[in-house]
Amino acid sequence: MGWYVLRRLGGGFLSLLLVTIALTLMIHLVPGDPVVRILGPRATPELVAAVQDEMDLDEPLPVQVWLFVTGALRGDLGNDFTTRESVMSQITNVLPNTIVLAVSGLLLAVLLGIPLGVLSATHPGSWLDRVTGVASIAFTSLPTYVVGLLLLLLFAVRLDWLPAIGSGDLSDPVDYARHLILPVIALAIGWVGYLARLMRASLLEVLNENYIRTARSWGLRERTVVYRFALKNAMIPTVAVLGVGLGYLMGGAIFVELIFTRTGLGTLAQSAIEDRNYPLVRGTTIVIAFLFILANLIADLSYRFLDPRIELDESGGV
Amino acid sequence: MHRRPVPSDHPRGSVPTPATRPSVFFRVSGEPRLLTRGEFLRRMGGAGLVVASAPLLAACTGDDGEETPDGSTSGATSASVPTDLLRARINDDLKNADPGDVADAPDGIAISLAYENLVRFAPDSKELENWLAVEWEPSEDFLRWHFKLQEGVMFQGGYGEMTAEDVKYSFERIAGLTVPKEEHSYQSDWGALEAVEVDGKYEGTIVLNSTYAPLLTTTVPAAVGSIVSQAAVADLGDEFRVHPIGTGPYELVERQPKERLLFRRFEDYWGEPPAWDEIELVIIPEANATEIAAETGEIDFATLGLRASERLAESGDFAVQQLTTFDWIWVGMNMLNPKLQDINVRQAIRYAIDVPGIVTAAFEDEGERATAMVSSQMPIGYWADAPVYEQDLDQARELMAASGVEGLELEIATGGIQSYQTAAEIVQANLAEIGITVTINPDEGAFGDYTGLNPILRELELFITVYYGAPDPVWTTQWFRCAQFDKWNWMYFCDEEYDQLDRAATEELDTDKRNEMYIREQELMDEAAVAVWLIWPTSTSVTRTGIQPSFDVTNTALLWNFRPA
Repeated sequence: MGWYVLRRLGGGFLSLLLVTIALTLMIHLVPGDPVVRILGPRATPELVAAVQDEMDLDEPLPVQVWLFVTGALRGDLGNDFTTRESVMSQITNVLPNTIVLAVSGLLLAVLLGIPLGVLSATHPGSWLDRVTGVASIAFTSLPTYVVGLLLLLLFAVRLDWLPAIGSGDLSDPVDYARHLILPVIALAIGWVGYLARLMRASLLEVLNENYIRTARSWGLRERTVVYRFALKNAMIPTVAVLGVGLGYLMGGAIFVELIFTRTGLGTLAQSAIEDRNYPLVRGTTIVIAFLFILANLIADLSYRFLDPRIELDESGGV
Repeated sequence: MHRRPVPSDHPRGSVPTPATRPSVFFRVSGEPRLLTRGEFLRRMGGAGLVVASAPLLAACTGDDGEETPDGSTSGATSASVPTDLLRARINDDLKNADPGDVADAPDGIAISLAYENLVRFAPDSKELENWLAVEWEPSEDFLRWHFKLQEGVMFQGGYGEMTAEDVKYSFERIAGLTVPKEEHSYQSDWGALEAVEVDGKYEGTIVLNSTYAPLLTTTVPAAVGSIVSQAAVADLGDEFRVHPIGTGPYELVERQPKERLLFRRFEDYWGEPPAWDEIELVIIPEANATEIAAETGEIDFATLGLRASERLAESGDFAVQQLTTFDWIWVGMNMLNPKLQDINVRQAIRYAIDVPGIVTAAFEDEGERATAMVSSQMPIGYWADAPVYEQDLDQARELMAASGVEGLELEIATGGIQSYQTAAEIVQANLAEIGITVTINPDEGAFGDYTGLNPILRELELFITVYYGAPDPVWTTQWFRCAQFDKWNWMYFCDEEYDQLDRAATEELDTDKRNEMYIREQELMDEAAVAVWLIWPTSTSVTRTGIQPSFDVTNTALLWNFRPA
């Protein structure tokens, strides 16, 4: 297990390093002087020189990568060009909003999707199964931004039940939760459908396994067979997807943040791109990559708890 | 017109009357200020309008303007409108609210809440009046401007009383005259400043090294003329960029990055208390989200497009304000490009383009058809008799035949802006009628945002863009001097007479002569046929019913002066 964790951590670090190198090289792919492109033709030579120095663009490329990586390890992602604020502080200011949104979305998807999938699998061919099937496909087919807009128009504009914009105030949990409801539903609804379909298929497959038939032949109650013996194994593919899913939900959260004008990593990245604020673009990208890798790592490690056989596989395969 | 009331003990400026002082403007010294990107210049670019300084100042000596046209006073409240919180949309977070480096429109809004100037244009007016200065006296040669400050004016944040030392620091820091020298984007606005002499705790003299025409239009009453606290600047360091500390009616009490800014009524404010307890600037980048936020009652004021504003007004919950600007949008022709060096070709293009069609289809008639550079709203420099080029395809074909050019292929750059894209499509169709094939290049970022354009400037052929004006024609004309090649003179228009006139106009103190100079400059540009002027656009905003909005001369919303209707 220890070796496996180390390998996964090493792989994650390597991925991050590659992202960092790519981000460092990215600015050199811009035609012309990257600093002039960032600052515009009005920039004075002194300002251009200052920015070059600040971004270490006057250093050889390997040194630039090294300086950025070592800086990032220290938590220093540079400074915003326009506000002079630390990139890291800007990210840490908004990151909780994005994480809360993505994790809430994942929780909602799990809380609704898995039970729906289980119900469908345990009642195959029933009206419940058919309704769940149609709904799941419909949910999965709907893009996040469409759901978001529909929810916004219905519940915020037409019915005026919930706020349309903003993240709310964290110091006021009720206000914060009210601002969270529509974005979370918009983000989760596609995954509810997906998880329901996945869970249904997985559970049906497990329910046809020999050991389940053996359990039934022993006269165990169906509820015990399903929830005690089948469900745990049927969860493995779902958990595998959840790891990747959290990463995708982080991506989806960006759309949702834009639709609901929520403060978060997505809106921060968007405004940084619009402003050609390279340090901020670089910082948000590296943090998104880090979170994606971290989510996958957690998912990989969680297999152990669902399937202890993975612990024995020291070769690193899953 | 509504003027902010002034305390009864606030003496008015003892300045010369028109009878004793000529109408004057003052010379620009050194490099002219270059436009910054973003909407700031559209809204803030420097307060003030081109009006004679002496009559304006004389206006300050009269009645103190406490009453509004309807007789109500600022700060008065209506029973139907709660005055605890006013919410206004801004499209981005603060980027740089340092008066010397203002970056964008939201910075301008924040500055208008937190800072004050020695003199200002009265809200909703083009009249100049004393503000922090109770006296304001120019010397005979207009090189020395003596001022006397209102006493007992406190800075926000506990930074003490404002004194002449703060005025000295505020101007000299931007001009780069302090030790150590500071660098600011708008340094050239104070390029004519030699020093500010402190004559006492509340008295001083602005000393110029040369006369400077826009001093009382786009300098002293503008953002660069804001009085800052030296102690606050030193104390806050880089944080000062996003934490304005001034003497204004509202102070910033909370900033949630990318989310909102909360201003609260400054308890120690020296003037009449404003109407609302708090003003929240809600950051909503997208126009559609803004419209929704207005519909759901989450904002009370926003600058929006005309159509969206009209939709909101249909509900009866909002009133629309349509305000003129000093901006201008045009089709430019790069004279350096070999394809456009023949004046016959340029004239043919000018005759071929259907300007009214573009104004309607691309800009939804949101503005006035432009006939020259300087906006019709600018009292100085507007060329009322400018030729109006209606579409004349026969004339255009004749000119093309005279040029001998056949099978001409041109590219028009639009910067990816939707309205310019539509305009370019019309240009494409128009020029096809005279045998010119036009390809539209929606090159991202080329014009909506100037960054990144520099490397391709000389390769431009046709382009559509907007420049943001300010209340002095120098802000319109200076970009087309020869020295602006590779910077802002994208038409690569270069005329010795134009340059000479433009420089002289900033030094000329007689407004009539100045007016003639700017008109002559536009005649020269017209003769060169380097542009097809499209529109002087308007700015549209919506205000919740029951709230009386207020704007400055550049159409920046003066939220501190909003009041229950």
